[in-house]
Amino acid sequence: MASVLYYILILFVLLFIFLALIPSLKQKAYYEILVATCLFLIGLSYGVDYALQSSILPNPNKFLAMFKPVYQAFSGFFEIK
Amino acid sequence: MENRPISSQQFSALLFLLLIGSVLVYVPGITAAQSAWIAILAGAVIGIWVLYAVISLHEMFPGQRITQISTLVLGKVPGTILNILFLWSIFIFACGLLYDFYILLNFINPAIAVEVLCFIIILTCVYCLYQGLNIIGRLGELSVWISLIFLILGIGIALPLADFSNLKPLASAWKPLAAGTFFSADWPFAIVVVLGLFLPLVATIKEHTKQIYGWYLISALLLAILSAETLAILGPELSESTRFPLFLIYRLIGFGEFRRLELIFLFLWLISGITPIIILYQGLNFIVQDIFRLKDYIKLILPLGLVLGVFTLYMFPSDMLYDILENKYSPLFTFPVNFLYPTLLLLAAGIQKKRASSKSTPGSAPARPEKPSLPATRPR
Repeated sequence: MASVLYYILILFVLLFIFLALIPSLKQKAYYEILVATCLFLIGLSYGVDYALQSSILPNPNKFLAMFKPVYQAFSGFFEIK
Repeated sequence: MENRPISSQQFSALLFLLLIGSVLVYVPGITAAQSAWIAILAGAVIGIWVLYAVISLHEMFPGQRITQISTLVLGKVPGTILNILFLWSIFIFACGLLYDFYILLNFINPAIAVEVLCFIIILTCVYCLYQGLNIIGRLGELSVWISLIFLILGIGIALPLADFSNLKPLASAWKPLAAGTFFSADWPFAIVVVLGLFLPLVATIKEHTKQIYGWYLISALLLAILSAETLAILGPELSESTRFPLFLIYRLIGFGEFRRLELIFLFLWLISGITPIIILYQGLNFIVQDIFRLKDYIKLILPLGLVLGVFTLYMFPSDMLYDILENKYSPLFTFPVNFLYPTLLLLAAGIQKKRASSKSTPGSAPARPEKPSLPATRPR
């Protein structure tokens, strides 16, 4: 059902253009447009990656997985089952 | 009123819903097994320190968000680094809550794909945030009493099912209890640090500090009672292994022909489930705004919503992975950040204030001999 995300992404692109991009261009808030567009592109690229099930992009959960040895030591000390 | 759109009553309501809504889907501190409710009470003590630190910082720097105080007190670079760590910590919490919420909705209605449910929640939050901060406050104020009534009603009608022998032996081993305290302090109590982003928007906070602490304590007490009841009904093993223990309990309740009472409590889940997501989502908007020094956060609402939704789907493809990453590994990052971030800032601000006052107070340092003033007219 990941392909349903394509429609959601299209909806978000349209919403972003009409609710964020056009008003910002009218206000000439270029720095805000830059930051918002960068964030949007990150979300969009991860969305496409998820919909394609290709896993090309680095998974952010790797950052959480880094805490595995810390958790093992923690659970060993505190006798967590 | 224009600058401070949230009243202190609304703020207290948001605090209550943030704490209650964050944990309606599971028992916090379940690593302490039958003593989880004691772990919750102990965790609440740690959380109250975080709340105290955040309120104290606001009193020292009125009108500044915690992320602005960070760069003001620690300097631009260290402050921004701390803000980025804080951003990631709040982001993980927001992803976790969003995941829990759409899995619960999927549990109730399995016919709808999780992707659709995820973005229905996101779009609801987007709509709320576009309406303005005042709406978040009103939402909290409107739903706090209804949630409280439903919560007390739920506790009351599930009481006949409780077998309190499941809560014995009480605090038999200190190590699992300490671990449970750590986990419950992390989620939900240390999450109150996010309110440091909202405090500048709250009117008459100084006069209503006691009210805020009061609502915090009510939430902690209710969570402890709710957890004790869940453990007494299901037992520690089933409470840990069930995905939504409270939902299961409400399913077990029934009077004669009246069954499926859990659907009555759906309102409680919908309101108190979505409010913490809105608070954390708005918190993310504020943090990103301060990191990039933007004038306005409105343009960030949609991009951050997309990032939040997509990353949640991307990071947690299964329940098993979610359980390991979110419930086991992430507290080791999020708790130190959420606890130390306001603590460090309070310490640094305290030291800075002390230095400034010792410089300005004439009695604290030996007074310099005054220069003899020149006569108005010099003798020639």
